[in-house]
Amino acid sequence: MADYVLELKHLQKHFGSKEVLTDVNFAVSPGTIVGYIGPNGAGKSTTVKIILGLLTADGGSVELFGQPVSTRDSEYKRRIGYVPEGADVFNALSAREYLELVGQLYGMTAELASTRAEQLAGIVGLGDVIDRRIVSYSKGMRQLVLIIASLIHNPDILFWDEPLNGLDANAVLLVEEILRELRNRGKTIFYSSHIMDVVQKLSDRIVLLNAGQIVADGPFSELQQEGSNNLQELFNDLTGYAEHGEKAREFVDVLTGGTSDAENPVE
Amino acid sequence: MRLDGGKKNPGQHPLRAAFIINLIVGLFFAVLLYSPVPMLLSTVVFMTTLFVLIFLMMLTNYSGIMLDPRDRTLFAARGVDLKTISVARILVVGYYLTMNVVALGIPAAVSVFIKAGPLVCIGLMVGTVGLGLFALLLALFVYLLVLRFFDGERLKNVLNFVQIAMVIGIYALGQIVPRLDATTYAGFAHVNDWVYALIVPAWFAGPTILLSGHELAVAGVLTLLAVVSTSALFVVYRSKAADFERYLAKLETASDQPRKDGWYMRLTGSLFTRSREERSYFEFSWKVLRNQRDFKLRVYPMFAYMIIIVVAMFMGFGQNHNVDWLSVLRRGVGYGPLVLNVAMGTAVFNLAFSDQPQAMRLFQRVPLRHDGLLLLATLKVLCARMFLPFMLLFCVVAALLGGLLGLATGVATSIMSYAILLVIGRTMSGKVLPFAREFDARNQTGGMAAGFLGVGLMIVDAIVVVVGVILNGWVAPLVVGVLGVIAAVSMAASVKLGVHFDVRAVDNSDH
Repeated sequence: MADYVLELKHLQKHFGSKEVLTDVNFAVSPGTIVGYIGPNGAGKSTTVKIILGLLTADGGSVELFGQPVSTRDSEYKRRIGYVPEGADVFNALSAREYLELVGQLYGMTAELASTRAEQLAGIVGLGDVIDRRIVSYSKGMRQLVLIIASLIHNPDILFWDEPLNGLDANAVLLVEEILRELRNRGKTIFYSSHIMDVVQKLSDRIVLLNAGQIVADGPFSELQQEGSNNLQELFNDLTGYAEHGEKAREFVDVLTGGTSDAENPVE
Repeated sequence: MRLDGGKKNPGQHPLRAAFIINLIVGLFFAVLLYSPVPMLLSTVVFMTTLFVLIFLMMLTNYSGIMLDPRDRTLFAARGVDLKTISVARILVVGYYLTMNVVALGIPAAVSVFIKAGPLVCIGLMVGTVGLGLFALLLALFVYLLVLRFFDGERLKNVLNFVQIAMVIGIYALGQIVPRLDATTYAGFAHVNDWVYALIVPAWFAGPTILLSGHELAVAGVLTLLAVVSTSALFVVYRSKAADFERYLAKLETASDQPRKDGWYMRLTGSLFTRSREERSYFEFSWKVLRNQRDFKLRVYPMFAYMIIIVVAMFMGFGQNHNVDWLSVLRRGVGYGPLVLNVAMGTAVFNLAFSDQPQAMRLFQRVPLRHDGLLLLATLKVLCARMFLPFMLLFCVVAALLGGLLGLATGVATSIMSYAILLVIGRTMSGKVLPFAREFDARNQTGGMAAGFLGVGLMIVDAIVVVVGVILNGWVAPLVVGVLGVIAAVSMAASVKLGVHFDVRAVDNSDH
């Protein structure tokens, strides 16, 4: 039996002449929160799509639970929970109906899915609105529905992309604690986000992808370099982006003509 | 699955394709102008038929743009005046409508140019474009009234009902003029020309006749009516344009209460599905489909149109022949379920669309073991919601009129009709999941193909009905029933096992 839940070996992917992933290698043990980060266009979503069987790699291999991932086989998806960024949920359905559907798609009975949906929704504060149509939900409430949908079938590995989008401060704390609790119970979480302080706080291990290649892999404490006080700074250093102050001035100069507002008021 | 998040084919020009198709349809219209009747009558017939087409086009293809409340949210927040948004909306719809109207009118204009000269040709084009503008403003005016006096979910229901009723009404009206056979047509030609002043589309024949130099008084009045009516609608709409945009905001409010699962859904779900998995898909598709207002708007009128066509054909046949209607009904009503076939192509085609295609990405994340089962369940939902009530009605009437034979015929043809639905679903579904695309009014080739399929099925069904009525025995229903059962069982298996959606997203943005 494999020691790793997820193993990527020499993963390669290109779209036309553009190399999107180049020799990506890493393995993830159970009970780990992996912060998978990188600038826009680095290849994060492509990696996840390959793992989920939505894209075919051009080279290398992906193994989940010791078995190669195939676009033809979908049974392994029963052990995966996925929160994509900006996902839509069916407005016409109530949260209960949507979660029942999701549960049944993962092989649960309707009764179990409904019971579990009700329990989980009650815990995160959606208990009173679970039978209301999703069209009336706020962004944060929809996100909570998506989070529940990714967990309702008790998966072994989670892929969460910007899961805290739209959540209020209380919900953020709750979800962070849920992640830690899941990790403590042996679940594996693949967490992707641009909010570096959350990633730093939660992750046992950071994998930083830049231009299709892994440029950092390990616990933050080991990756921290002299001068990098936090993950944000580390990110900037490793991705070669240190001119944000200068670029910010340049940006505002375009708006103000290089002068202050007092000298150049809006007409 | 290939959701429509994938990039469009760079070579695709849906507007150009629609233009060409409308040009071809326009060729048939051009024939109307060569009828051996006075020019006024032939132009009136042309304008009436064109009005039917234009209004239908607007209601089914462009109403989504006209009634989209999101534009106000996008633009008004940036300081754009509501009237400006309204004008922009009309211009967008007007542009596409004009392209289609011009395409429909060009062949007729060419034929008139050849027959009567350039001046009359100009008159025809002016009348045609004017008719398009009138139809657009009329639709906006009706929408304005509905938006003004209704709110909430009731507003959406009334809007849907009004749109469908208008379309069905226009279909029915459109059957009156073409139903005129040669005798009546010529007879109508001798009616006092002032009668045309009562027929709204006839007003737009005025410019053509006026410029031909004939019947100047009548043509002048018709032209005046066309100009005044269009101008009046324009003035009214212009004064209420900002209000229209404000009223549109009502469409953004939605009830937070889910609709209850009725007994009919539960009954058909338990009868028609064979596994828990299929039942899940059945209930899911039912709930999604019942909230697709645009589906109802595009499909229900076509459904009614097909039935109107068949009824009109029977009436036309009966007018010219001494028919014992009771005897025909007794023998033939059992074949009624076959009539439903003609709308199935359009219905299946529109299953591909929804107002939330991105939500179908859910099926990328879950273990979709039997792709085809989802499609099969969706087709069963379509049958249960749209066609089964009529099948049952035909069976009951057939039993009352024709006894056991009538009932058996009704059941046999219902089974065959269901099998045909599965065949259509199997062949039209492609690799795209149901509800996974956004409807594009510019790209109508699929819809037109579905329409032609319906016409083809109508011909085949007519042959079957005629043979069945003539034979008047158990042979025809037995043959149809046995073939129907075999086809239904084999097609159900084919759909369940043979359909495979492409579950790989082709979207290389946001790596």
